[in-house]
Amino acid sequence: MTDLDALRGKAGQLWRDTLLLHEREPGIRIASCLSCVELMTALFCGGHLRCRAGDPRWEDRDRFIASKGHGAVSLYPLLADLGFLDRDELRKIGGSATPLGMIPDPAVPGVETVNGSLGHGLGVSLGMALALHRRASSARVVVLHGDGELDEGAVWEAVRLAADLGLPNLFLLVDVNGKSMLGCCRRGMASWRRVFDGFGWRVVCCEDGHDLAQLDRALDELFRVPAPGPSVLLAATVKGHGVPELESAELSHVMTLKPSRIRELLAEKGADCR
Amino acid sequence: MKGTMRDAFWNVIHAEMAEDPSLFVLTADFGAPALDRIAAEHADRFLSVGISEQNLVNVAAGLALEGCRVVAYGIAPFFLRAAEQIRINLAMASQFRPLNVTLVGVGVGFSYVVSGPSHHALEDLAVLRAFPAVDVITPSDTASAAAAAELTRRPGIRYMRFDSQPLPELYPDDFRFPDTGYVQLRDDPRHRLLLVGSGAMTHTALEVADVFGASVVDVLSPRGAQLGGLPDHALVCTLEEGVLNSGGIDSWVRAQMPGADVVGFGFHGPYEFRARTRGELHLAFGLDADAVIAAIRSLKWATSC
Repeated sequence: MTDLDALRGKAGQLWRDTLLLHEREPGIRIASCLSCVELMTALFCGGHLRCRAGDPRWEDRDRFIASKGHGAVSLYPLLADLGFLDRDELRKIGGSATPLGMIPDPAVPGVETVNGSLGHGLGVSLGMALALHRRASSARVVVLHGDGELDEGAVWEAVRLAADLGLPNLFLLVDVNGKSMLGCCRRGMASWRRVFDGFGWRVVCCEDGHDLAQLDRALDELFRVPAPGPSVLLAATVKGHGVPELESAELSHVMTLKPSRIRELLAEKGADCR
Repeated sequence: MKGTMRDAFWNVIHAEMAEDPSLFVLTADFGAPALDRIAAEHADRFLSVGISEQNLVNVAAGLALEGCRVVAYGIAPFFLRAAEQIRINLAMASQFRPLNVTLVGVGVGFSYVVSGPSHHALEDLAVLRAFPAVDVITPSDTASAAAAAELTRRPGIRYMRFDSQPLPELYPDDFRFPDTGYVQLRDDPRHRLLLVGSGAMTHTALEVADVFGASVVDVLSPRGAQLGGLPDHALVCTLEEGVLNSGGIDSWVRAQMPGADVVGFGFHGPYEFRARTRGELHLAFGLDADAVIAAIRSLKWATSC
């Protein structure tokens, strides 16, 4: 049974950590990062993603690919929790003597692929899942996309092939925050559900991607209920979640928060601002 | 070694499938007789991804990240649509972890003649040569294609571009791919004229060399090759079924031989849609032997040749 209170506390801390990373590295796309904080918390801390502390290359690990690389800096505190990097390293982001950049790359232990350019993660994940499936490994491949990222054509080459192959160890998480760089995405949850269902994927929906209980149930269904092929979790989220001016802005993708505003936000949440 | 380059290559890979369980073959809906045997005998390590070159490269990258030795096959000009996938998921990714991926494209240069310019691979060498860590390999006969297959055993990212038509035999059946990346086929002791060819145009270079008694080099792989060690020649001419002044063999030779007088023969645009034979295409771009010979004769240096 998942300790939801602990999970909520963890999500709150990750939200604050993400803002602190943005304070140190203003180039971080903070709105994109904030929409998937709870999703990543539930995945990593809710017992769904199988990892081994201190061993980022454990052969039987579930592979996590952050295809929406610009929105994945929350990964750093999670990897620190796993002992893949020193927590003190998080303070160094924005400087030159650290592998922690505004987009995670494989110089960071626990980061599997090169991302930043969108639409690549699912195809690469498919190849990984294919190799693992062929050698009867229990390891799964979990890849996080944004909904705007689904514009990229290469995504659909992989969606089609994964369904045709019936890969049961491939899991796509879509952060459906409804906005890309220039504004609102045209499709919503219902439309994406039809599209993925039409391609032959098993679809799980989470109507509030910031509600840890809903996320936990959705991930439980995703990973514990077997499917004959690939699965997708569509999570409805809010871009810039928790920051009113980001939530309401159509062009939140390119907005940066000033350090003074970050301090205000953290103080409002009663944060430990280490 | 008779036959086509792709058959020579795939025959080697077919034999290796039984020896190396890590070898995995992908294709973007493109076939070959030996590939049919691979598909039948090793179905668990063969997959057609369908007509999807971007996904072909991405899936190859994912397999390689899990330790597979991957050969990914398609039609040469269509690899350009996967340039970013090659850049990010192969060239960049291989900086962090050794990856073994060999892309094989058939249809280099004008070899898919009547399919028209959409099927002509004229820019691929220039484009893919620009990516660090990508070794672009252009065999000039079946023996060199078979030798290139042996390179797939090593970690690295390679793009091999094969002629679709049988070319005259140049190398013996036991030819080994040279570490230098090139083979000097002829030597002009007077060092007057050096002809640098690639693929089908190496054969034209040999024909031209007969007239002038020229030195001839066949460039199989520009990466790592050091042409600067060759003696200076009064004139260097490059011959390629590829773009001029845009990062192809001519640009590479100029960089290798900064003091040399280099004249390039190749594709200068516009794309030719009406030619029915490879000969007509060569005529259109001054790549036939007679045109090259006449051009060299017209150059100032050649008056005493």
